[in-house]
Amino acid sequence: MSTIVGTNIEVTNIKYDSDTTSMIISNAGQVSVKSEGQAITTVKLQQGLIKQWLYLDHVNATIKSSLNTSSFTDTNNGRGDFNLTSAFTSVNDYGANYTGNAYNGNSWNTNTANVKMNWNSTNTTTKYDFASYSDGVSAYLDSLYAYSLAFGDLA
Amino acid sequence: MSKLVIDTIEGKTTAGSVNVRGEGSNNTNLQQGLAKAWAGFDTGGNLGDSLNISSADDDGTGNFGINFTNNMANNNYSATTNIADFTHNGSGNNLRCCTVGVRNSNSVEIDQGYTNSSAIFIFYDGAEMCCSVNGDLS
Repeated sequence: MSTIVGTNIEVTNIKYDSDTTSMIISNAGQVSVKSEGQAITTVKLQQGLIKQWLYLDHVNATIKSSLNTSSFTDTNNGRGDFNLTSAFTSVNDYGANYTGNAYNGNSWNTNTANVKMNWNSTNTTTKYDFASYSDGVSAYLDSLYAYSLAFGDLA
Repeated sequence: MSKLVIDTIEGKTTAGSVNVRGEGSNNTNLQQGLAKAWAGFDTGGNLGDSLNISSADDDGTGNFGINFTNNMANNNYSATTNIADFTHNGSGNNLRCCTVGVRNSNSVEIDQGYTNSSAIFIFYDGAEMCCSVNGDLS
């Protein structure tokens, strides 16, 4: 057997051979995979997936590439909201990470950025906020290069 | 049928796209949800554990890079970075920063330093850092 072409395959275990189980599918559709060291057989595939990511040019208000991102709302200088297409289960069931370079010309002195997440405490299941602050000019500034990702439980 | 013995799973409509049911009723995409590269490395360019990283570079004070084994499709990918906590001896020199610099399809640059009491950014070898890359592989 080398190729199966179809729409639905109902299966519980996916194995390399009869002694080596690679994936186990639960009755809730959740997939457990074997760890790299092979000692753990219950690594949760869905939990390990990044559920949302993007590359944002905040200066020109342009999302360059993304996953599960419907739009971003430019709320103020250096601040905004990322809006998601598919919701998380609750505001307590996801985490996010943001990296930005508050941009004020091609100078390191003004491009340094301190970043905050949920700074405005307005996160919902389909939105989280972010902020970039430049120490060089002591002000919130849009980032020319802003990157973000979120992980957790999808609804 | 309870067992499926295979080496490779690929999408039927698009080989590189497999949808996966999430924790609830929504679907997400397997390939898009996978980190395509990640690494932990120190300021000497010494690579710790990693995925899809061939090497790490120490390009000078506060300047670093990681090189991919398999290239990204372009430079429109997302890269996030963080730094282990470090201190710098000097009054007011406590604002630390680690950020993503130039992104190429085969590498990404990471810079770190601190802002001094005159609000001048100073490149500095602070501490170990990590980076995660999401986007489309070539």
